[in-house]
Amino acid sequence: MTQHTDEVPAAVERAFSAVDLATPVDQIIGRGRRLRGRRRKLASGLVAVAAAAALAVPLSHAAAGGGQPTSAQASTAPAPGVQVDLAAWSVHTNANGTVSITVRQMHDPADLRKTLAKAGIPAVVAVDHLGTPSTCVSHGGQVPKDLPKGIIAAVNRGTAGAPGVTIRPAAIPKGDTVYFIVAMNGTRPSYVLIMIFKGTPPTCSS
Amino acid sequence: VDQTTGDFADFYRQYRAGCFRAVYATVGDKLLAEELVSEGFARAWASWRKVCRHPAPQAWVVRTALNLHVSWWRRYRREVALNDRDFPGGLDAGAVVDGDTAVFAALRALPVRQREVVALRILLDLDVDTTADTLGIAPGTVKAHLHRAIATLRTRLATFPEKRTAV
Repeated sequence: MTQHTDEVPAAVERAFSAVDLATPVDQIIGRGRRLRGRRRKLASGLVAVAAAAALAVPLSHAAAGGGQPTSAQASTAPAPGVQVDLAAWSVHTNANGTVSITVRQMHDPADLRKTLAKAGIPAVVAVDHLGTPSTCVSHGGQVPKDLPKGIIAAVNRGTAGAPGVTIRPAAIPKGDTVYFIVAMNGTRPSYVLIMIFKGTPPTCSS
Repeated sequence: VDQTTGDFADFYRQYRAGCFRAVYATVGDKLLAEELVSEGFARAWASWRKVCRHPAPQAWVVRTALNLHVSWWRRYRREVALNDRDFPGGLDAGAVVDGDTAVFAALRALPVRQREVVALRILLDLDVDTTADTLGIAPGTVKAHLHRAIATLRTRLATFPEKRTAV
């Protein structure tokens, strides 16, 4: 520190010389970690909002294509619990009955379909490659139903931006099937698209 | 202890007293200054990758603490009154007080900007340019504020001659 030769700065320095901050560094770092965590949470929330916005366009497209009214006879059977974490994807049944799905890779749609069925989601899982002609959205002439209210509880993003969605199985009308389309950008899933069909939806190919 | 934590801990050890003194001298309330500086350091930790590249991270901490003080003051100004936690002000000229109390009282009588300049230049030992950057004013203005502040402090401290002999 500069040694002040002028008596006034020296007096000011001396007056404060015994003043020191007693807060332990661990306490500071603990608070800093909480602040950092809160900021990351906020950032991931913003990503989720962005993902929801990305999802809203295909969903509204699906809803616009379906002219049929919803027969909202929601299933009341409790969904079986599933907790699966693979390198490619995760499916978790939450305490409130919703099911969170995160897709990091998509090599075996049939395996994901089986796991979704165990979680109480009757689904067809399809892969759509962005930038190539697709039958997923035109769905082979079959018309998707309006998406029942509350079927999508949340739109999530996993680590490294892996797309995900939380579905409320209880909101799926009986006899209907979820069309779970994983939109691939190259080798990475970009977003997931959810449609509802009466019966079994057509197989998607691209 | 990872590298980041070690770097931050070293920084904290080196500058915690200076930052605390600078903020205390500006806001005049020891407990409040402690809260503000602790929060300033915590925010520095939360943004350490950015803050550690700052030319004067200690100035960043003090600026953050003073910004927090502005927010705090705006929120609580209706409820807050100066109390015995604040360093003394309004001493009568000629009163017999010890040197430290006289300095605190004299500082308190300065305009806020001059107090900030004294805090950063003298207590945090920042150079003129860094002080100017931290306060968002011109270097010439820093020099002028410091000159006036020292002149005022000298006059004010001269009114407490009996116990100022140690100065």
